[in-house]
Amino acid sequence: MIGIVSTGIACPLALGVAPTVERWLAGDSGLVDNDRWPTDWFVRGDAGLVPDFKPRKQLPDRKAVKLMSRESQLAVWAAVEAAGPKAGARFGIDPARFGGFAAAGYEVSSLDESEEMLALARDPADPRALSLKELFGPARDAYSPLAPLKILPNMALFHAASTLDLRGPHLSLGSSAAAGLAALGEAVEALQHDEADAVLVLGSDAQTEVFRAHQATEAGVIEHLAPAEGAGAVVVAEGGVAILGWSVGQELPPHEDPREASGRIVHGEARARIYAEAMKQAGLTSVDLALADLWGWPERDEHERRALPHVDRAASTRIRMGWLGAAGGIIDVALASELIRGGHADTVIVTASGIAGDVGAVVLGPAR
Amino acid sequence: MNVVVTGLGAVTPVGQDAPSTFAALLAGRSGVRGIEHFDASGFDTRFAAQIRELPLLEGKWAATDWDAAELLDRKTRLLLTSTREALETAGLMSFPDPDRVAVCVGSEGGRKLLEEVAVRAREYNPDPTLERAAYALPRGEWAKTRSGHPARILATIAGARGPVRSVCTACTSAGGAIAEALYLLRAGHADIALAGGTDTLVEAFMVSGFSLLGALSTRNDDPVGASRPFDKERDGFVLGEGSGMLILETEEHARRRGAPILGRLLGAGLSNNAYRITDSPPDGTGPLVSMNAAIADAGIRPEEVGYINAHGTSTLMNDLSETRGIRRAFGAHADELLVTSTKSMIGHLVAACGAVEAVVTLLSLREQMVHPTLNLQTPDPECDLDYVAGVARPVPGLSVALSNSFGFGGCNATLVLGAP
Repeated sequence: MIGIVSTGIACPLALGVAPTVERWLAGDSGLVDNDRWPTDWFVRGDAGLVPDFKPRKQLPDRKAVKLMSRESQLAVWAAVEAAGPKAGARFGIDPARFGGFAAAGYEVSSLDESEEMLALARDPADPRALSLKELFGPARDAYSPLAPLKILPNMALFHAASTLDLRGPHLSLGSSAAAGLAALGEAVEALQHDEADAVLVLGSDAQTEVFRAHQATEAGVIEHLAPAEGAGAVVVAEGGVAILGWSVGQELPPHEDPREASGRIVHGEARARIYAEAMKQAGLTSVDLALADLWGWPERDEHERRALPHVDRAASTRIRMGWLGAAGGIIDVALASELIRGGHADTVIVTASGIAGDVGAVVLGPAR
Repeated sequence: MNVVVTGLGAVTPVGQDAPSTFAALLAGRSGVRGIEHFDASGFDTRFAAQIRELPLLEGKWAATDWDAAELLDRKTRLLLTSTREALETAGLMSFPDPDRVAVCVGSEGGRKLLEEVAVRAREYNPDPTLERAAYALPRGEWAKTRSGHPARILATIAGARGPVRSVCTACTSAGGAIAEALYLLRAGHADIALAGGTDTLVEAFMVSGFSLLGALSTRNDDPVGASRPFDKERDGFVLGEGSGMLILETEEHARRRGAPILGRLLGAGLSNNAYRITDSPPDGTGPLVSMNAAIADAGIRPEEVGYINAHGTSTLMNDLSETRGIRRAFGAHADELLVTSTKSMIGHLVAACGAVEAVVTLLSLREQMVHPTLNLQTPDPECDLDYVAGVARPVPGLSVALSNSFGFGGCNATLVLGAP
């Protein structure tokens, strides 16, 4: 049976799988005061920041670090913990048969990057004006030509793939908190259809950048969840914690305004159907634990609870880690796998929904 | 399970729809000219392949009935245009079961317009508070920067309520999206898939970024001659814009509703180079893996392939690596293949190129005719395949073709397409 054979986590609770599980079981929160930028004007002063993360010291290729955005750095860390540094050799798999599927982050470049380009583009005659000629004149050599590549959505996957030497099928799905669960499901099917022998599934994001966090307030998210950063990685192959069922669909009705999506996605009907499909595939009517898409938003959470199958316990990483965007689904899957592996749960349903209306569920259980 | 193509749509720098695009390509007409979208006079590269006039969207496609027309940015408008055409050719103006219709779109997000950066800076610099900078843009603008935006808008307007996937793998985004649609149909998640891509790169930030990378041709005195794939004098690619769309269906579904079968999607292969961000391995390993995977997935013999619509960017390394990859994948049969580059006439559509080039490949199979590679005047001795230089060529009996896409970040996608 196809399952999760290895995991990696860099999240606000801790850097690494073992300390993350330990802090999770202890009931700790990963939210801290946000010291990245002044928050006196912002709706929240806290954030989910990955502790003790020093990319230059902790990633295998120090030179490559400067080419990576924050989410790429986090992604490589999680990928190396799950499968590195040479994944094919570690698992005895031909690199050309080792794939990589990822949920890409929200990839809006940071204020620092914008400021760098703007500083170079400033017209000497009028500091408030931009001059493209200036950008292409004296300033040109000062601006790294590789800087624009940081914001391509597939860069986290590329850096993970090149670090781990993964050359099999690759897919980077964009811009939704449920994209990680979709990537996981696609990985299962890639193995079922013999397109690969193993797939690294990755989710990474850094919603802590100031404009991303602000954009999340526009979507109505940050009133309820602190902005957060993190990455999760799992290796999907034969064996391990079994992936018993998965389903990803959408619950956005026709003509819903996407700007309002996260605020209005409280219907529950489509969500219940998607969760039921995953449970049906798993052949289960109840599970021990739900790592659920609960936000601490009463009306919304009520719909999530109603959509869930019968569960003994429902918990939420979002409330204790913050809003992890595209990273959330795979961090939850990695955590759930470790809870099952450690005997803390027998069966778990992981759920996630994205701003754009994507909803997904994955059911995990012990190897069969 | 067999997957067939029942609808095609395209909007490109040389045509407002798929037939006119293909006719222009057969005639060897270039869409490359001086940049008109902004003042590029100070740029090293001052030309691109642009769409001069955006096709008019009406009715539900203009989103006027849900007051969201402002969310239809340029790339989403292009996507809606190509999709509308594809659905019309498929005879699918409404869906029998919307829950069984998937949407898979290759698109890229996170690209800031320089104007947006400027607005933030003007707010931030005189009075440096983050609040002023954050609120400098109108509410709703953020949605357009999300890579999933075009797919989400398309699903909403078209009324498709099955799986929605946005594939973001740079220049292989659309090829990856079509592959993803194939997988969804084969796995039984949908009966119909709207699969394609869209991109609009002719704006200051992207032209500056690619220029700084040294990836663009600087042949400013000869824009039409600038994109010259496989030519010894090639000096980089030409940015373009456009969208392509395929309507894919399971053959059983298509036959049940009496749909026109315009071609077949026989297989797909994806791979990663795990090499460098912007370069392919010179020995062609990356393309080799994706082509071999696609051929195996399609269950065909390499000798059945008669034509390859190449990625063919006109950069030194891509064209060399792709040629070597083809030689390694096909052996002696490589000398029998016709290989063309659509980018020689419409430039590089990046996230959309795989979709437009798949449309072109399917029309080549249908019409038994392949377009030329433009500007191939001084053959590069290391690029030694038959690239159909200069003039279109009839190919009677052509039944199987490949469409290649390779991208920054080491991504490779190959599609295997078949005649109806």
